[in-house]
Amino acid sequence: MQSGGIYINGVQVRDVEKQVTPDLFLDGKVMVIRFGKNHFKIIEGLTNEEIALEEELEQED
Amino acid sequence: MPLLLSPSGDKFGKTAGNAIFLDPNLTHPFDLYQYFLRTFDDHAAQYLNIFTLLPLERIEEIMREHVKAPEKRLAQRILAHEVITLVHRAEVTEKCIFQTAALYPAPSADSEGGNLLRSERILQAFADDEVMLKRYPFTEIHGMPISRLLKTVGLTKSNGKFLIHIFSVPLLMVSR
Repeated sequence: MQSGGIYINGVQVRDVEKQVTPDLFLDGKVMVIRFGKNHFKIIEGLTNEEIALEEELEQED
Repeated sequence: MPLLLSPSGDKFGKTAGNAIFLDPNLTHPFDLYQYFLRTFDDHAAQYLNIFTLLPLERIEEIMREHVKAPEKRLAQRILAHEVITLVHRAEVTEKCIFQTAALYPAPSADSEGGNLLRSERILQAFADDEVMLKRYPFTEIHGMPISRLLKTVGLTKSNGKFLIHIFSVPLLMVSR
């Protein structure tokens, strides 16, 4: 069992079944998620255009 | 040697679920920094005494300054700085401070950060940190339950049971 509060962009999450929606991303791009006192992850959301551009750049390299 | 207790009164230990490790592969330096930054005021002096090599006179001086404006978290900032520098390196500490400033910008940060959006500052601070920064297509994570997202990014091992604390009250959440 995991223990600790869950925070998204500093706001406590009370329902862990809540679905991820675009409004949970800062500037529509980044989510800061904290679990417990000291476990952090930064999530960067990528659009289809960004993924296509990155693939293009990789192929050029 | 006194038994070390967490702010909730539990002993430090793996079974208590509040373990921190010196090994950066087990506890990321940023997480370790945040842990000490969030030390309760009541524990700050004790932790400065136990976990740092600062002279006792200096610790007393820090605590005298700290109580004048506890909201500035002087004792916690020095504690986190000293611990990370001892365990890792000064450069790692500087990076943690930079990353923390990106996550929690001071009111004056707008002028320091130019026209960068908050999300851009955060991405810049964590750009070379593959452990902390996870990148996913929106199509993959939109609609995903938060319990599963926690598992996907490696914050939990299962998306089954969580003991979450709301206003310090532990609540068992069982996800489907």
